Amino acid sequence: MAAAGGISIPLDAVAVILCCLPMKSVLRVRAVSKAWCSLIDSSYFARLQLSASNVDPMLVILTNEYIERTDNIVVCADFYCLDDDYDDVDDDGASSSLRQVGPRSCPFKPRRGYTYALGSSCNGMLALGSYGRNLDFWNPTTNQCFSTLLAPDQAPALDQTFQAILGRMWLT
Amino acid sequence: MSITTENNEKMITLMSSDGEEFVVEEAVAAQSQTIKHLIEDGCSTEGSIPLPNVTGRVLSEVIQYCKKHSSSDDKEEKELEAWDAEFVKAADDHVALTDLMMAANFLDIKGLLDLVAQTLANMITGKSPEEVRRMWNIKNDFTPEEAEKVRKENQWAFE
Repeated sequence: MAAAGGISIPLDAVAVILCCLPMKSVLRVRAVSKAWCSLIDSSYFARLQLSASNVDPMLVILTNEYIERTDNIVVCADFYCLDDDYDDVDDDGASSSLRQVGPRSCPFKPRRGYTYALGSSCNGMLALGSYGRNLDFWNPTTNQCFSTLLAPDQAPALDQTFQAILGRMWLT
Repeated sequence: MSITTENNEKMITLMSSDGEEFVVEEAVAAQSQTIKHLIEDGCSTEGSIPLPNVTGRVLSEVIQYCKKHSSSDDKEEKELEAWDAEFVKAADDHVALTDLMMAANFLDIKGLLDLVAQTLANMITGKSPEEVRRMWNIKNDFTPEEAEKVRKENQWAFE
């Protein structure tokens, strides 16, 4: 596989290396090859990265503001994470160790007349409180999002609001 | 082959893929979970432990790391960190580091694996996909259209 004088690297080693990288660099190397791209998109890599980040959790501070447009409202959020070297905070304040990773605009367009509120989060995924029978999720780091439609017996009445609380459930 | 030194340290012999032999204290070799399990399973009593995936050049580096890390205790953490930094610097380039990483992976030495993985990760940071491909002779198997699509999916990462 390797060209003369070069060296190749197996994918399981790539996975270990990528776990040490910030998400932005990881997303950039998705473009290296199809194999790298499917590795990064795989649930195997997501779990590996999650267990690596759990060892050294980063604090994420989030402020949100609502920017009104003519007929709908979009969510705009600023994200900050605590830098690795947060032990070495300067005397003049903790803000020097904060690295801004946002802002990002939520890719969801709220349904006409409804507002979004940022709900709870789990594993980097945010739940967006909503109305009606849709439940929307957004990962601001990767900007991936998906919607799920609740079954009629799970959904609240149409004129009621509900909030989604994310948590972790272990299935055996 | 089990020999015992004057200070009662049990010694074992490791043999690289190219036939080089290294006699090390068992405590040093046992930094590798793979070797530790081989010793526990009694594989070291007859002759030396063969390591068919690791060349002598890489194995000598690995042993250097294991010696340092088995002789230092927690109080010397700062000194150990500095030593680690020098150690990966001496490995010089991504080719040597990749060899070292494969060995650390096979021998299951977590500290060394993490150290080398982080060093290689630092090398990739800020590199373009094309530069990363050149590091490990990876073929770009995307069509121009597919490449554009992958890029578009995470446009912000390229800005």
